[in-house]
Amino acid sequence: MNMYDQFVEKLKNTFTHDAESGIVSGVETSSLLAAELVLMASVIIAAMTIRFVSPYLMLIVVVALLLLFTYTTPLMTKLYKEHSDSLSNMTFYVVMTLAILAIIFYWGQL
Amino acid sequence: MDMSLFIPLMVIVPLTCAIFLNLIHGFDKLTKLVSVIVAIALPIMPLCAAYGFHYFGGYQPIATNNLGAIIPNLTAQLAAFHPAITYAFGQGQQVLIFLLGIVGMSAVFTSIVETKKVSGVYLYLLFMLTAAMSALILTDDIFNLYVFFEIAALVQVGIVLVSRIKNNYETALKYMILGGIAGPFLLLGIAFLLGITGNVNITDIVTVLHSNLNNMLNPVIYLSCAMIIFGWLYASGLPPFNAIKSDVYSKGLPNGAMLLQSFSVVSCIAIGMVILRIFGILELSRTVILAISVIAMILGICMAMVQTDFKRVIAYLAVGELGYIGVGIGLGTIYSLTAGLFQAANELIITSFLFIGFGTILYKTKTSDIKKLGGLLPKMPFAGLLVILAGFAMSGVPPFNAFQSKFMLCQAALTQGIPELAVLMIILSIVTFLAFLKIFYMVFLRPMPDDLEIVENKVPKTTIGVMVLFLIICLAVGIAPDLIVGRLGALATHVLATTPLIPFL
Repeated sequence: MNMYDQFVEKLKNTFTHDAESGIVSGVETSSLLAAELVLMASVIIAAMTIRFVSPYLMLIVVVALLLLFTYTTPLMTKLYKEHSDSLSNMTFYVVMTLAILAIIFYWGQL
Repeated sequence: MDMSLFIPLMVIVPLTCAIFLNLIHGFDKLTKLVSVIVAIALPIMPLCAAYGFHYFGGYQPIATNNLGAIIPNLTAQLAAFHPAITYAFGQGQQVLIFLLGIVGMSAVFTSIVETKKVSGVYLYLLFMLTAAMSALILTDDIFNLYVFFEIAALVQVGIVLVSRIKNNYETALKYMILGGIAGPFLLLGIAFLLGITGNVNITDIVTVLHSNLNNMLNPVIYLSCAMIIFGWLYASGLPPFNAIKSDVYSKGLPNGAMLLQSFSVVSCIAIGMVILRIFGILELSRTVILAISVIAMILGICMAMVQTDFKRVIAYLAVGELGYIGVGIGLGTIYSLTAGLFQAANELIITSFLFIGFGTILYKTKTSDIKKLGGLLPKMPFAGLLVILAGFAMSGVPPFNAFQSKFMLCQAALTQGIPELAVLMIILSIVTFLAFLKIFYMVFLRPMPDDLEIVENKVPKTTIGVMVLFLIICLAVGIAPDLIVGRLGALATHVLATTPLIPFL
């Protein structure tokens, strides 16, 4: 199975009730592909701002991101599932953000 | 007549009207008359009000009244402290409250014409939210800001509850639960500030913290900053609260969703400016705001591409546009803050325009699932034209207003030496256009599905009139941005008085 077929398989698993007989329209497939490419490009461009901390760290992070995207694509299906309306999901990310903010500001004042 | 009396009236009038409408619910003609009159007054009041301050209870700072001569040995700093809740009204606030008044007026008008029976309770919710937003813009008291933030949060829950859309109760409950986490942390941050400075007036807090009276590297100040930023994330609908906010927008009626997203924009700039004034001296706070805003832009716009409900698409696009506003705040210069405020002012109009525009589709078809829609352009050509123009406006296509604000934001990023931000903003604007074109094609251009029923025959003229009004504002501001940029610049200059910076590293 090539990469595109794997991509469509994961699309069907995410967006249809029955992955074997479900149909995903061309518009949905192409919009998901576009979103996937935009996500990858945006994250890599945003990671380039790490050059303000250290250019070498930026290189390491960008290479790591490229490898991550290569082996974990498609990310948009995972992102779509994580953005579900489940209260437990939302609460988890809220608490994680609170913890991250507290840690950043704790280290920031040292 | 002292026109500064209009300053508190911008909050008191919609507040009182809200309570009165709740009492006269059931008397349709009286409800319509009162709500129309007060809705028209909403954008007029800020134009009539004189610039200045309003001190509730009449308690002016000692330095501005005659008590300074009576009370001996009073330092100049202490004499300038504000003993009362203070509302500050300048050129920037005038622009924001005027545009907010236009949005509030439009929400009330469309609510009256699109429902068979006028609901005093629903109009109470709309006016109460408008009053809360006006107070958020005007207040110079951080606790007063928190009170109106909580009022607005509860009113938003009410707007979702009365919509009768499927699963609205569940969404409202989830929003309240998450608000129950974020709201207390915001209050905790305010409490820490009160404990350190002994003040709740924002100007006084800034004076105390930026003078030598306190050590700015106090860990409690850092923690207070973190808590207030967390509350800001909830109020604005920035990550991780973007999912629940988009759910809330999708569960409201279109006119309610207009005000719901307006609250997100207003609280983003109101609380954002407070964070910048108090904690902007700490580079870490601006870095965190910038990072979260970039994440919001990327997440919001990428998620908008994969939604199948057009209300969710607009909701996620609105979250993405909030990221642009956050970038303006996070860059921390007068020009970038002006650009951020300009973007916020434009978003108030454009997102409302989109909600009302797609609301006409909901009005005619009773569905918002784009898989079930199609071929609506021959049925509603003028509304379709207005919707595509609203999409152009949101994407930053000239000559519309968002082009000017996004251009300013890109310039601000380049001036600060962060071209990556400018590239990101341009790419995401293009993707915004792409997302919008997708839903426009699915709803208006592709062949109509056989099982699609057009329920209502004619879109109310008032709704079309409101959309034309928004279009005129988008074009006017886009062609002549100096109409409002100068005024917002005055507000940005006041917020960012020169302070020494404490670097993060």
